Amino acid sequence: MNLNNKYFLLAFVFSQILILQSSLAQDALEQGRALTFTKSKGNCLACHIVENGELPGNSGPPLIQMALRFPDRSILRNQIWDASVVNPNTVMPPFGKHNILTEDEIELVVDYLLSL
Amino acid sequence: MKIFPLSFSMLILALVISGQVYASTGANTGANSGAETDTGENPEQDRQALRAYYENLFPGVPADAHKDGIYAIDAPSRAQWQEMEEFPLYEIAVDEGEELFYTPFDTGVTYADCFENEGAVKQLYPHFDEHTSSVVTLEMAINTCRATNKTTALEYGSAELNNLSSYIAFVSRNQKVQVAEPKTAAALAAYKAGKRFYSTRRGHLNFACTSCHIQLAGRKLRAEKLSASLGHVTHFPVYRFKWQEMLSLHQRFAECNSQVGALPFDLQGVEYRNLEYFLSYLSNGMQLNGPATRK
Amino acid sequence: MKKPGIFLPTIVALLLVSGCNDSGQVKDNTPPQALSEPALQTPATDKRTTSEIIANAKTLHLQARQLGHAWSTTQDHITEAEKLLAAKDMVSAQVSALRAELSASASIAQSHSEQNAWQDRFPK
Ligand code: HEC
Repeated sequence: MNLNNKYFLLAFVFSQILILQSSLAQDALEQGRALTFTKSKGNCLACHIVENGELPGNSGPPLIQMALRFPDRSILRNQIWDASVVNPNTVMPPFGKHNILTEDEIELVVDYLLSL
Repeated sequence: MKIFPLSFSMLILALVISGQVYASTGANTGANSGAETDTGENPEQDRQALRAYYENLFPGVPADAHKDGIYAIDAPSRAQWQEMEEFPLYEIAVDEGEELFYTPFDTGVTYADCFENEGAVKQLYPHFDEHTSSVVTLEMAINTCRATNKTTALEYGSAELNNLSSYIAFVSRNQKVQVAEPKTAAALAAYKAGKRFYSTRRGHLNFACTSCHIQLAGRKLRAEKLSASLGHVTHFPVYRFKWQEMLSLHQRFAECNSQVGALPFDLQGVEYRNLEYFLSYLSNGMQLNGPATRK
Repeated sequence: MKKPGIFLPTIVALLLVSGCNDSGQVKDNTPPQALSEPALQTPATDKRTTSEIIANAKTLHLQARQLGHAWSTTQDHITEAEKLLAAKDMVSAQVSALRAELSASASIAQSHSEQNAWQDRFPK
């Protein structure tokens, strides 16, 4: 087998993995979006403007340019887990501390927000 | 392979941060129970401070204008509301209440004998009763009237009771809220309990009444603008459009509690009565304008 | 002929494959009520029966209620756990029971942290 073929095979496997990866990622993003928008779940729209979210409230800042503004993922996650750590007077519900979203659901929301 | 660079960098990013993701589980800060410091309540100072707070928050809106609730600060929905008020949906309740008001009990006595001034008495409620050391509301007084006439009590929140209180609210229109300033230790304790209830976060959503109606007043949750505390007591009972029925103030308290995920308290129980007492004192001097229509 | 860096791409590929599997599993096979909740991480090692967990959740819930801080979500999880238990769905029943317990504890914690915090929320 010549080396080029090997590389070709490798590249092929590679691309398959990436395609699979990206469709899984799309699924996860869609789940994250649903959690962010749904009233009985994150209901982040109650307070935040989020891209493509209808009738958002204005009780919190718009959730825009998240990846840029939250290079440290854990800061974003902690804000959602319990916003009162940073601001004791916050009105943002402590989604993790009060078991409103599960840990996995919070990760999905974080993924989604970072894609914005 | 168009997706290559994007996915590749995503992967690298994911690899880099995956270590941090599960590492940072927030910790539940422990209970900080401490001796409760008695700050000494000053109801009149609270009332002035609250009025100043809203006048500052809503320039051009006089504090007394909040008797119209959200419609004091939400011009677009105010027009809609005024249209609704032209053919008031609470009229049936008022009419039925009037009929009940003048229907004699077996003793031959009517509510008109219990409530002076043909029922224009809403401004006298709630009040703190020193003998029983508790807050007396209009709804309780209606049931007391029944009891003295050997008639069974009405269920709180029932249509019959809400109709009666709607009628009394209607004939009391234009009177002003005039809750006597709490002076005795017991009255101040009830006032303080109401204030504490109003300011305490509850439910898994972790909201206090103050979160929405003081901190976020004028802001929106979804499309709903949040109203000021001032005037919350002036316009009840309300015809709730959403439910197509009359709703008492305590039923609204229960709805708010439920909305934040807290188990509601008993209608006319001590918690809600103290809360009503506290809120009513704050609305002192404001015009009674119930019943009203609300979305 | 030299074999320039065939190993490097292979290793990168392996890394990617493992990374891919990892995130794929977490994101995709998670039951709606995730078991990776910190307190729920090892439900199997919880020595108590689900009935015992439910009973404890009820005790805590009642305590929260007496403190004026009961949550409706606790109630919902308890009801759910009992329903699942009756249907012999043991794994889900245990998850719901543990979530009920978690909510009840958090509601009691809320009553403690609100003990004094309420005093700062009214205009002065
Ligand atoms: C009841 C209103 C409310 C809800 C619901 C809410 N938030 Fe917030 N959020 C706020 C407020 C207010 C702030 C401003 C900072 C603070 O007070 O903590 C904030 C801040 C944030 C921030 C920091 C923003 C920045 O620019 O620094 C993020 C991120 C965030 N929220 C995410 C979320 C997500 C995700 C959800 C849904 C799961 C959510 N919020 C639900 C009120 C809310």
